[in-house]
Amino acid sequence: MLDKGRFSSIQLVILLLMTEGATAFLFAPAGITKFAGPDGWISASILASAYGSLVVLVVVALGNRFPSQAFTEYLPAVLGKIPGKILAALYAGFFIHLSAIILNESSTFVHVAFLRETPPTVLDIVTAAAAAYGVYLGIEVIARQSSIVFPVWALSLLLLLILGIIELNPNNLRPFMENGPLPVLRGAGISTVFRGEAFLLAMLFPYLNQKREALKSGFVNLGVVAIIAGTIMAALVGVFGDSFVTIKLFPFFELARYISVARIVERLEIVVVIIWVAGVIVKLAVFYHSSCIATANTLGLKSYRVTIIPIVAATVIISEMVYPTHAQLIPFLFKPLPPYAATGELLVPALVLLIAVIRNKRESRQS
Amino acid sequence: MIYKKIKIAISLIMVIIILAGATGCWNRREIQDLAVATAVGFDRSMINGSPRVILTVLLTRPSPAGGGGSRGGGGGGPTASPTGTVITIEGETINDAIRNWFLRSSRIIFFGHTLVIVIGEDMARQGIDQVVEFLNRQLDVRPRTWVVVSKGTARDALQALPEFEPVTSQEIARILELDHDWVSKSAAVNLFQVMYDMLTPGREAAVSWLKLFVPREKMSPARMGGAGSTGASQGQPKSFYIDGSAVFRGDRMVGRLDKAESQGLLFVTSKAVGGSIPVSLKPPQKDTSFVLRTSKAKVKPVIKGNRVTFEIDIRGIGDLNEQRAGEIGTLEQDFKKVERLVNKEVEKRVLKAVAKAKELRSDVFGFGDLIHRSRPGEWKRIKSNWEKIFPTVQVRVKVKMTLENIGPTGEPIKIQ
Amino acid sequence: MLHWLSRLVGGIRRNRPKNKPGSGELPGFPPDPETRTLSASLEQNKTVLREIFDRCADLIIREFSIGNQHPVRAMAVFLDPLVDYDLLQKDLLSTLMNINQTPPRKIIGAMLESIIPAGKIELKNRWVEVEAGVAEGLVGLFIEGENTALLISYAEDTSRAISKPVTERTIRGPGDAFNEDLRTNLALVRKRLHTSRLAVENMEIGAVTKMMVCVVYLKGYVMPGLVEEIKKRLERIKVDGFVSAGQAEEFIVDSRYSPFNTIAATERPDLLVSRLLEGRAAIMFDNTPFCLIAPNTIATDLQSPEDYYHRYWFSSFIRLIRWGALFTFLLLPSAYIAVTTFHHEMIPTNLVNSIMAAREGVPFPAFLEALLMELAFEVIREAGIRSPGPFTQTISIVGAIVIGQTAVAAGLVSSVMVVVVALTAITSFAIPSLTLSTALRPLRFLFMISAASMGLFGVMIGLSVLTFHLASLRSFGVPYLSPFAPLSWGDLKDAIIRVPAWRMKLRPRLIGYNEPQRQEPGLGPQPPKAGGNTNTRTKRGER
Repeated sequence: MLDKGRFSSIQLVILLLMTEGATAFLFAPAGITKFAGPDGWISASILASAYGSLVVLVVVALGNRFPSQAFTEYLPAVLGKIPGKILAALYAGFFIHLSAIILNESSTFVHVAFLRETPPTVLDIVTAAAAAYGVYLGIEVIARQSSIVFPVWALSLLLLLILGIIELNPNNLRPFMENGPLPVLRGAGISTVFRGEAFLLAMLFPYLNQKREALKSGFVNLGVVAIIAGTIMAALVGVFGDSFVTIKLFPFFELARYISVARIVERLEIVVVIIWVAGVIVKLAVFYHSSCIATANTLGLKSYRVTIIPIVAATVIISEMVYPTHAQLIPFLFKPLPPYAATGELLVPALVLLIAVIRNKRESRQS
Repeated sequence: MIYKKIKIAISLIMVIIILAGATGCWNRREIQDLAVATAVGFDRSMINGSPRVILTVLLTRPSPAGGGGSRGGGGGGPTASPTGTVITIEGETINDAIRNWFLRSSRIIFFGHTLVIVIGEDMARQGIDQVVEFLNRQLDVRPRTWVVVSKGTARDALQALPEFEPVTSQEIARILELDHDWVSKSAAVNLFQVMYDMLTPGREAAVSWLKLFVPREKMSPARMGGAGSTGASQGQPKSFYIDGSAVFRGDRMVGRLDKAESQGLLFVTSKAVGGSIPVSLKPPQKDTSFVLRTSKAKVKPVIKGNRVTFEIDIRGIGDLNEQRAGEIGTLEQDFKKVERLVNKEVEKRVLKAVAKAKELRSDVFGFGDLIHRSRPGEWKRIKSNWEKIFPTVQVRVKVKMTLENIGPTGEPIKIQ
Repeated sequence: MLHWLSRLVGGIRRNRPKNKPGSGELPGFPPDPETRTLSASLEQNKTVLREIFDRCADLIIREFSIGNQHPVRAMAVFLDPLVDYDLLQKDLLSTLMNINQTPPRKIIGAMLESIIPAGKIELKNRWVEVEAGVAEGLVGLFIEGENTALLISYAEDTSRAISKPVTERTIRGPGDAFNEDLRTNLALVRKRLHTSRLAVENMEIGAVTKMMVCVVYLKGYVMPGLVEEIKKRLERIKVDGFVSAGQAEEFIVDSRYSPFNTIAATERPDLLVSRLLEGRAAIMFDNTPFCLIAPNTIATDLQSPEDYYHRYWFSSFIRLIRWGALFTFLLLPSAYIAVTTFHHEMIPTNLVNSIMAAREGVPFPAFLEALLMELAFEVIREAGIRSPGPFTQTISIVGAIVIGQTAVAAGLVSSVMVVVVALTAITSFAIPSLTLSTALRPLRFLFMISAASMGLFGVMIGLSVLTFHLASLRSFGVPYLSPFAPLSWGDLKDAIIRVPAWRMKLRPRLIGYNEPQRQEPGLGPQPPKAGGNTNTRTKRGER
């Protein structure tokens, strides 16, 4: 057990909620709408959460078999020492890659939307450093911080949604399923990237206080995210119309700019900064934490603290070199990322589960 | 022991790196270095034989509060009444023009508080896609900025003198807001709505039309030099007013709807609020005013092959504000009499609007979009032909206005 | 710098003293101080005493004879300033000098029991203890032929009178505050808790100062393990001495470098008592007019005893204002810098013109302006502490504003800046806990720097880091951010707002779980029902 922290089921729900929600409402809506048109809200909510429930089921099943170990810890036990370690190393790389992407998303957004002249590198470093501090303090601190930040985050989000819905034009959400279910499914492909992050539960499992409630918490989380994501998509398309949402990189940000109530409540972009930074720091901290744990597991280390600085530095470097501008980032997000993420978050864990079950049956038959 | 020292060293290095980055402050801009553009105008014109884009910017510059004396003491504080300055720059493209701005100005142009975007007629007729693209990519410009097309050039429009507000931009913005609530004789749209209309298939944009005029009143503020100085005015001082709407097809302006037609348009799109509809009880003179309070329209498409008919059902509530010769009392048949006349008038206006739109081949009503939303299958079929089909659509209008109020008087004034 | 580098590469090692503090040989002390005992000879004891208290001119050695009949020589040794002459004369000297019967054998034992009417007497025979006792202010009674001495307490009360609290003033609450005398302070507490549950455990800290420290708590209510932990931490302290509790605080907190106080301090006994009732423990120091309370949470830092003396309606409102003041204090200058430098579109259009006009001609960028004004205010505030009179704070603020106005007139700063600084200053006084506001004061400069470099993004990052830090703080096991972080709905009743007193049925969950319930449920006031006693007639039917 590399981290002595513990947290409760509610904190788990909040943690996963902020992790999944933080980036989901920012980059995803444009992509989803591009494929699914005005029906994007279905993709984002129901379909994505259906996918998410599969992930949750697999992860909880695995977790229940190895309750005190993180995913990368019990891989050797299931697959054998060498293949297990190799897969653990791959997962460490997977997490680091994802963390770099998140970091890049964050600095791209801030750079494009607010601080256009500040080089994204600086934004990368600062954001990464802040998240790294949280990782250094441990998962329990991250969980506690997220429960503090959560009300602010949720209220700001709700505020923007409620004020935005005033401008909603229901006609924009029609026609329903104009081109059949296929576009909706393609749109769902993008939101699965974010929903599949429920896989992190596999790395967080050992730190739960009430492991029996993991399944319930996972589903609560999926339900809430479904509602939020669906509402956001519906609000965005409802107010702006699907053509407009597709052309804008950050439609939610535009929504915040468009809101005007009685000419007094205006210029609410600032709320988006709050939501964004609060959410992304939590998300990044969780991903970094999982990266560090995975790395420490692969290398057989006693404590993951040593790995923090190298991993953070690595993510900054990857973010800079592999995705220097959002011309590299966006196509990656929409095309290769969904299958790549799905493999790591659903397919491989499902396989691992299968192997674990088979092994178990074989062992119990032998003994 | 050595581990600790290495840790400290690394931390220090990281801190230094972060600090070095942090104190750079790249994006910093002091507020007094800004030139706040409250209105922007775009024109296209030929200058010295080459096509140029002309950018006109209406700036507010708070007058430096008369030296140090008025600032701290006497509780005065800085004056907040701005004065307006109009600067024109030209360039090969819009961005080129903005860069040329820095050749003339010491301050950084800032669109964050732009109230109005004025598009000159030339630019409108040649296509506003470039302007819209530009505005779309500016982070400063807000989607709620009003958009108007001006007869003549935007540069002249922005140099017109406001009659009420200190700055022209504020006056235009307020006029458009009021139009929405009190007059409904022009399509008052903001930037987002223009983009929405342009992007959505089956819709075309309609934008308010601004005209300049020389006020006849000798005591008009415009003639007396305006409420704020706008620099040297050339010739007779001009003010402005809104006159109907400009109609676009795609990104080019193709024509206009006059005031009555604009009102018809607004009725169909359920945007008519406020506004008066004069009718005549004793024709031919119009002697009675029905003031609209709210209205809503339901449009239903009926498609038979390539023949499309729209059934428009308009309902509204209004008050009677004015009448002549004491015709209307509080009797029900009086009310009904007025209502019938009003319905007819509204129908007339709507039909006029539809006819004009058909003539201009511009679907400003969004009929195509409506078909798309409610009959997606049909829309797929006729989508590519919609430009040709639209001029042939038929419209059946049914208006039902309800008169609610005739003011605090019961019986009208009957001259004895 | 060079020194640091050379140490980094494992170079110079400085001489570190090896002995324990306060153990340097006292001049004049007899060798083997720990074991050396008194002698039976009065003269010898006198000599040793003169040696120990060499050059202490205020040491008085009063020789006298006990008893009239067969007088026994004795001497009373004490330090003049600490002893009350009146008591000494009446109780000790006159009693002993006027004894009629022959003092029996085992003379000291008898005195202890029956003759000396003093309240507190101890019997000691080691020089270490005698020296400590006399230095503390006890009177040492030496008798010829006995090798033990009596240490009798006739302390003079040299502390100031009980007065009103200085920093924690209330309008409706009791006005007695702790003063420097530990006994008085304990009295103030005991006056309010008439129960044997109130435990008082003594320790001494400081090899030279030997300051008396008491750990005070309510048996059965206090958090299990808390007192042991406190005592353990106090015992770890091995220094020459402290002068006040504030110094001890730094030795016993949970987090070494955190600017936030995980131990509260108060000078009000009523506040102390209510905290004890919640299950906390207090540490009282001699010569300190305030005492420490552990554990401490952020919710506690924003509570003021005033809240409980007004009704819930007003108290809740004021609490919300206080929370707002907390954030305003921390973030207002940073927000101003961020918005005027980076986010000009946030400002309403009319305000833009005003601010632009105000900043016209100001030579500094907004960040520098804010920094200078805030620093200037800190200096004024520091100076104001030393200015005399009860109006120091008012004078400071007024002075700052006057200076600010003149600075604006001279064109050095903008008037908007003065408003910002004034607001910040005022909100800093709205925070009840002095330690919290002092923790935040330097912190807001860090926020200003982050606002100046990256606008509101920088501020948000700073807030995230701050929240991480706060989330990691524990105060003797209790997370600093409760009741928010491990969310405890019940405790929120007293955190952001204040529910009526009759609704506070339970103690704070993480602190008072030993004995959760503190009052009966359903204690809300219930006026008599209509139709009952609204009858205003008297028995005889008259109104």
